[in-house]
Amino acid sequence: MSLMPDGANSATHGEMTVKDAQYETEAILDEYFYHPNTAPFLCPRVMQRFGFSNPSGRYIASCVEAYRTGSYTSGGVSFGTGKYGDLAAMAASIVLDREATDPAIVLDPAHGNMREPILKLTNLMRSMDYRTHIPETLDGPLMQTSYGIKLPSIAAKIGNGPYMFPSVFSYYLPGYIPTSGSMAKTQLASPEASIVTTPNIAGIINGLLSLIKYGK
Amino acid sequence: MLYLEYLSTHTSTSLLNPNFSKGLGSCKEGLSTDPGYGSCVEDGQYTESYGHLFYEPAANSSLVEQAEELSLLLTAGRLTNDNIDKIVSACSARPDAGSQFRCLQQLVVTSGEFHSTSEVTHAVVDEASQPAPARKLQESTAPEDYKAIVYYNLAGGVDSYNMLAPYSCSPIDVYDNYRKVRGQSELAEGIGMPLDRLLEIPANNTEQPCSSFGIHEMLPALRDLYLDEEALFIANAGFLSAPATADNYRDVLDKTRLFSHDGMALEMKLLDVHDKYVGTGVGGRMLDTLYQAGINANAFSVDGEQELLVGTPGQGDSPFIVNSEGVVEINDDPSIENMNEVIKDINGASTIDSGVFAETWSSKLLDTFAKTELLKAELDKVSLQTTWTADHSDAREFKTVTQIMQTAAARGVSRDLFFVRTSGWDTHSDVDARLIEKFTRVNDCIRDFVAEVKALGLWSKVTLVQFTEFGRTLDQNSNNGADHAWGGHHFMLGGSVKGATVLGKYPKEFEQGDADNLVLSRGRMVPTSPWDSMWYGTAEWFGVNATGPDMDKVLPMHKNFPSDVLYDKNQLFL
Repeated sequence: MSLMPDGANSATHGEMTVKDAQYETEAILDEYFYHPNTAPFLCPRVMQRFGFSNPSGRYIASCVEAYRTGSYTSGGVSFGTGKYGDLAAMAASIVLDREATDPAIVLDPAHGNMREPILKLTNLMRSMDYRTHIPETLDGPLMQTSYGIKLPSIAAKIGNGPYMFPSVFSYYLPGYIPTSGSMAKTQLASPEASIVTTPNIAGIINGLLSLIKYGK
Repeated sequence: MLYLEYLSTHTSTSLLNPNFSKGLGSCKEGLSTDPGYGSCVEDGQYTESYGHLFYEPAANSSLVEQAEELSLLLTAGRLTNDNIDKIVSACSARPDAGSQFRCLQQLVVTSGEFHSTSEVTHAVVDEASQPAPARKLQESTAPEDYKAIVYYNLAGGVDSYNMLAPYSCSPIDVYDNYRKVRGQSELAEGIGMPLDRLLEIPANNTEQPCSSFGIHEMLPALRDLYLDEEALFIANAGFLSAPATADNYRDVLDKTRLFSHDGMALEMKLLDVHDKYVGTGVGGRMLDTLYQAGINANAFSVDGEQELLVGTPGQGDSPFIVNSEGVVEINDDPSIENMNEVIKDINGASTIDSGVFAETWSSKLLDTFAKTELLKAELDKVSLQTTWTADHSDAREFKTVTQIMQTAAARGVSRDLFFVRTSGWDTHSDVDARLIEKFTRVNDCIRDFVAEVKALGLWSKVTLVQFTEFGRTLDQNSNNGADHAWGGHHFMLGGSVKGATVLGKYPKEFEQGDADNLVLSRGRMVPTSPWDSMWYGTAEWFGVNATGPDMDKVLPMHKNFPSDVLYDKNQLFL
C-alpha cells in the first residue's frame, strides 16, 4: 500500500501506483545516502581497501569531512566538486593524508595492511611482465598468436578474486581481528587476515611459485 | 587500471584455449591448465603454459642487484638486507642466470615484506620469547577413550520453524497458530509446511504444547535417527547472555547486535558476551580446559578460519584449517634443496615492534608448514570405509572429517573438534524451494556421514551439534521468504545421544501480546534456551568438569540461567 493516500482518485482506489513507488524509493535512497552515518561507515572501509587497516580517528574524520563537503585541499590543489558524496574528494583525502605519505609513518608497526591475494598475484604479473607466449614445442599450426588471460575460480585457490565474493559481506569483515600473534595481543584489525588460512596460504604460495617456474 | 586487462574475459576462439573448467592446474598446484602433454619442468622453456613472466634483469647484474630490483618492484623496497642476503646465497647455486633469477623471484614472493605493507625488523632468535611449540605427537592414547564433536554450522539463519514444525497439539492448536502466522488465509497457503509434507515424530516430552512435531519432508535421515533415539531437538533456542522476555530483551542484551548476521554468528561462536576471554571461542576454550587436564585434543575447521575453535594462545594447539579436499602441500617440487627451510628462515622471528602485518603473515606461514606436513603424512594412510552417495561440496567436507578422525591415534589425541559450515540459509526469498534444495543436501550429509562413522566403529564416540545464528521471522515477507529473527530450534545427534525427545520450550503462540511474553513483531521469538543449554551437557560428555571453574571458563554466561534450562550430560547422553 502506498504511503500517500490516494482515495480521491477513483481510478486507483487508493492503491499504489508506479509513480508512488518511484517517489518512495527515491525518498528512502536519499534517506540512506544523506544519513549522518553514511560517511563514517564508508570511510574506514574504503581506507582499508587503500591499504590502511587501522586508520586513526583523525584520519577517518578528515575523510568524512571530505565526503560530506565534497572537497579536499592538499598542497594548494583542490579536489572534488564541492557536492556531498564526491568520491574524488574522498579518495584524495585518503591518499594524500599525512598518514599515507609521511615517510615516518612506516616506522609504526601498526601501519599498513596485509595485501589481498588477488593484488599480490597481479603485482607479480605486472611487475614481472607476464605475457602470453605459445611454446614452439606444440604440434600443428597455431590458431591464435595471443590469448586473453582469465583467472577462473581464482578465489577458490588463493582466497579472493574479482567479482567473486560469496555474499554481500565480501571476503572479509572490516573489524576482523586475527586470533593469534601480535595483532591478537594488540587487538588491531586486519580484514585480509581472515582469508589467510592454511588452504589459501598453500594456494597462493604454490600458485605464485608455479607461475614463476612453469608460467602457470 | 592496467591489471584489469589481464582480468578481462577475452574469449579466445582457438581450440587450444585451455579448458579452465577444472580449476586446479595439473602442474604442481598451479593456477591454470596446460596446453600440451608432458610433465612440468622448470627449464625456462615454459612448454606447459600459454604465457610466462618475461621480465629479465639487466645483463651482467649481480644477484644482489637483481634481488634489490625485485625488492623494489615487488615489495616497494621493504625487503630487509638480511633477507636479501639469505635469498642471494640460497639461489647462487643454481646452474644458470635464468634459474637463478627464478629462484630469487620465488623466495621474494614468500616473504612477509611481499605479503604485507609492513616494515620488518628481524630479531636474533630468542628461545624464551618463542610461543610454546605445538605439542609433539605423543604415544597414542587408547582408542576407547576417543571422542569427537562435529559442530555443524548452517550459516545464514535457518528457517527452523519449517525444519521442526508443530504437528498434533492440544489444547492449543499450535499447528494452526503456526500456519496462520506464516500467512495461511482464505486466499493463500503462506510459507508454513502442510502436514502432508512433514514427517511426524513423537515429542516424548509432556511439557511441550504438542504431543508430536513434524520434521521437514527432505530430512528423513534425521527423522530416522530421532526414532532410533539417536537425535534430539532443543526448541526455541538462540543466543542469550541471560534470560529475557519481550519486554526487557534490549536491556538484557544491550551489547549484542541482535538480528545481524555477523553479530549473532560471532556471539554464537564465542559465547562470551562480556569478553572475559577475549579472542577465544567456546570450542577453543573447551579444548584448552581439556589440555590443562592432560587430555590431548585437536581442532579442525573445514571452511576457513573459525573463531569457534580458537583458545588462549599457548594453552593448546592452534586449529588446523583444511578444505573439502583435504590437506594441500606447499612447494612439493622445490627448485633448490631445503627450499622450505629457506622460506621459513626468511619468515623468521621479528622484534616486538616489527610491522604486525608481516609478522602475522610469517607466523601463519610457519604454522601452515608445520601443520600441513604433520597432517598430510597421516591422511595419506587412511581410506573411506563406505561408498558415499552424495558428492557435493557439503558432503566432501564431512568425508574429510571422517578421514581426519581416523588419524587421531597418529596425532596422539583423544579428542577432536570439527567445525563444518554450509551456507546459503539466509532465505529472504522463496523459502520453500530453497529449503527443499538445502535440506536435501543436509540429509545427504547426515545419512552418508553417519553410515561412515558407524562403519569406522566410532558412532558412540561422535556427537554432531547443529547451530545457526538465528531463526527466521514466522511472518513472511513479500518475496515468499522470511527475514531475520531470533529463537529457533536446533538438533544434535550421535551414538551416545539420548535421543527421541524435543527439549526446550516450544512456543504456543506467535502473535505479540502472548501469555509467555516471548513474541516480538513479525513473529520473532525471544529464545527460552540459550546456546549454553546444548553446550553444557555436551562439554561435560567431552570431559569438562561441570562443577568448579572449568565450566565457567567454557561457558562464562551459563550461571546466569536457572539450572533447569541447562541440560547436563545425563539429560543429553546415555
